[in-house]
Amino acid sequence: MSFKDDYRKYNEDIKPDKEFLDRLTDDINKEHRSRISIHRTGMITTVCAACVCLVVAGGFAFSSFASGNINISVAGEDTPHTAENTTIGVFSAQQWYSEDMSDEEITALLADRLNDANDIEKVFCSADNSFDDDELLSGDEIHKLSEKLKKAEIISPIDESGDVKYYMMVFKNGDIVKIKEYNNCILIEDTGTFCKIK
Amino acid sequence: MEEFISEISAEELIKKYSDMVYRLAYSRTHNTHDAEDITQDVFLKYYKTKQQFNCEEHRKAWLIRVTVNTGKSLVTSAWFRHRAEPDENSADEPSEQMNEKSGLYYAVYSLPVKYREVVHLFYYEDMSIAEISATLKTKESTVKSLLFRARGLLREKLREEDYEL
Repeated sequence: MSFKDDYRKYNEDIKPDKEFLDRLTDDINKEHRSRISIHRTGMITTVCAACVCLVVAGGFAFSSFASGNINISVAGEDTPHTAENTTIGVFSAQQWYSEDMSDEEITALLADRLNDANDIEKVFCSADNSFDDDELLSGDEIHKLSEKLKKAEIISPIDESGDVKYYMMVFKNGDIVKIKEYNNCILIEDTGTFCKIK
Repeated sequence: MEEFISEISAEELIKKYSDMVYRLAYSRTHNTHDAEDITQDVFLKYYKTKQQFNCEEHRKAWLIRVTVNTGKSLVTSAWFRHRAEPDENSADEPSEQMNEKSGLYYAVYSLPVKYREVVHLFYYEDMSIAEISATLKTKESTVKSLLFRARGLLREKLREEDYEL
């Protein structure tokens, strides 16, 4: 008997349910439509904002020209406006890794980012998965953590046991990454990447 | 040669790849609900990604890679680990159609997870060791050794059924 033939036959019976596929198609179409609508709304808002700016600027220019005064100021405001960072709740909406990265690439990326003083803001470490400002790692400790990740070997996940250390990394661009260390191994929570410290 | 169309509708994408994604997810979880969760995640990620695909093989490799990654994050997620039934007990029983092959079902299911996906890609998707290695971004030697060990375990478990592996 050929294992390959039987395995193929056995897998032919494994198929997603038709109702599930219909639901999935609907979900994707909804998601797609909402993204197009957000994109369109964004474009319309931008065009409208640009028109308003042109009208206001034109008005100022005309009034300045008419009065002979070319200084532009807004009453009650001494400082210029600055754009705010786009965030959802406390955390930024971006994803720090790409979906098709391998575990090795994810671990290397995190190690490099931790080692880059222009990128990393701070790293918290605690034993209970809640983080206070007095639990911040020093520069040396951050470097050691980066080295651990750099040299770690990807393995299959093992169950949590013994003492667990939780780390929360905050990057200057708003990325937040949580990992935990136990049994001389590290688990990167977002990606499920699991590696053994060497 | 089939012409490559980079933009593809949800209907076409699901028609073309849902079986592949679902089967690969199922090879990891052996559970219908988890396989559906993974499949849903993968297709939603596809529509959110900014990745440009330059050929159909590229799209297929991306979907396989993301299915494997999504499966890993599901199994290591806090919710999955803390839910009432542990993974091993939540597997589906083989369906009636599968019963006659249940020896094979249990043999494959009893393999450690890391072997199951490689076995599936090699025996079902007909991928070579080099293709699996490129798709999963793993060394060829790692794929070879996973496959070698998986075959050893399967041979032992299917001893009485005299399978050619």
